[in-house]
Amino acid sequence: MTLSIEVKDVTVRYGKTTAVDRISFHLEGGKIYGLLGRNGSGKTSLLSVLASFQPQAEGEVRIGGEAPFENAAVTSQVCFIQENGHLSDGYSVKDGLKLAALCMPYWDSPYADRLIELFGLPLKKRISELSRGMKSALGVTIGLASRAPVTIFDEAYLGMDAPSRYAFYEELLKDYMEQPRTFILSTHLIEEVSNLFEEVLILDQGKLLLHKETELLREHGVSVTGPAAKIDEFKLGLNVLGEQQLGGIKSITAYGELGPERASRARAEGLELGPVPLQDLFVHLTKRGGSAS
Amino acid sequence: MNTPNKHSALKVAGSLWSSYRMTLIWFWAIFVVVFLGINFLLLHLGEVDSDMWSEGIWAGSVYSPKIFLFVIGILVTPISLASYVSFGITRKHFVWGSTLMLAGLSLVCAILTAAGFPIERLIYDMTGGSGSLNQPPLLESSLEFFVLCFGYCLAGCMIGNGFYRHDWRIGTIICLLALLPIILMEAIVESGSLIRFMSYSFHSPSLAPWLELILTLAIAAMMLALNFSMLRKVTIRRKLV
Repeated sequence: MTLSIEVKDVTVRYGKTTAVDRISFHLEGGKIYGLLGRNGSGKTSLLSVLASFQPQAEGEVRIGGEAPFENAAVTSQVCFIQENGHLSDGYSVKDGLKLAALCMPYWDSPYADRLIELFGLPLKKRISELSRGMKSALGVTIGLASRAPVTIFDEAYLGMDAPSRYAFYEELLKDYMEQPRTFILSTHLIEEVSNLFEEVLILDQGKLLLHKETELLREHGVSVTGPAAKIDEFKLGLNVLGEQQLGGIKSITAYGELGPERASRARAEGLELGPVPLQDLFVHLTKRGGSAS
Repeated sequence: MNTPNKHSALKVAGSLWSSYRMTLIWFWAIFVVVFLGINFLLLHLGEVDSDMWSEGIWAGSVYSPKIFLFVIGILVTPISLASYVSFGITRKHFVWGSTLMLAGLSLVCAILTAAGFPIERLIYDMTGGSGSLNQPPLLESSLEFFVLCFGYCLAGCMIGNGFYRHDWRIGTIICLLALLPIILMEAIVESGSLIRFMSYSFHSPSLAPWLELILTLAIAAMMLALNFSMLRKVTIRRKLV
């Protein structure tokens, strides 16, 4: 089962601070989305609205065509996992999983058992006694085993060590291939997960900077390296996101279609064209004063 | 484990009940041990005045279960709401479920409190005490205890919800306001059968038991409505406890 998400002119405010400013987008069901943004860009606020953790101040949110806030038919389809978790510290791991199994209609117990084994979760330990990594592992176990049609991980796996994180990415992809559902992953570990994303949304200062298919976004970024003088001449008319110079060699990161003509000109002038990793694009786009326009 | 057909409020009530069940058992175990210990000390080591025999130690300690329930009420929302909402339970179902669980705790406490009076008298009679309890209105008193215990739970919830929803200033005001309904409930119930157990004189106008019950239930309903209105659109906070 997959559900689409429609967000229209949504604004979230905390007192006088606007965390999310008139954001609109449409997410088709059954895809893996990456939600990227710097600290304080409004990611968690936006996800909180999707998960009915708070109502939006303005605008409209629809999940599967219905408003989610206090709508049991929708909230039961959404699982929201944050790094710090929402389970009481007094619960044991077993109690937490029991509660998740009780509340979540699509809970898959055998799958949960397998993930418990994979991440080595100690069932009898209290949540307060778990390390940061283990708390994250509990969160991702709940998120994956929930089999919720909309599963949101808000930096849920940051505390895990590298092998556990890669095990999580593998599990997520495998599970997604077997039972497609909508995943939204908010993260700062962009390079690690960028291959999972089918579409990427970048938030900056509460606004939606861009929403593109990951491949398309990668194609929109290009690095051009060569002699500084030639690069300075070549960059005219390009949307340059960043520049780096070492001696007489200069490298620029440009955003936008280069076009076949300009690409052949670059090659003719001996300039080196290369792809830009998603993380670099993100860094350049969200640098204060950066713009995707 | 997965019970999709069960109503969400019942799921909340059931899981909260299993969380608080052991706390309840421990509270009553300690309460009874302390009660028996005090009785033992008074009977064997010290002089017991006649007032003590007529009022009884149990009557003097009935505030304890109410305070226990008051504290449980304060803790329910800050400890549990975020877990349930993150697992897809609505605030409305959480309020109904937690209220149901608190009603269950109140019922158990009310029955045990009311049952304690005749048991205490029996112990006194067997050990040579002079107190007596003629025809105790057990059902009526259990009902009164239940409504009062439930009132304390809901007042506790008002405080917990107040601090969860608002900043500390409004939370403090709600904390003070939450005491008013229970003072009112105590004042109403004091004119009823509870007073006959406690055996001291009370001179306020006497109310018919059914009127007491209706008035106290109306106050409880008002507190429930206030609690729901505080949580209806509350923003889920990061883990507090």
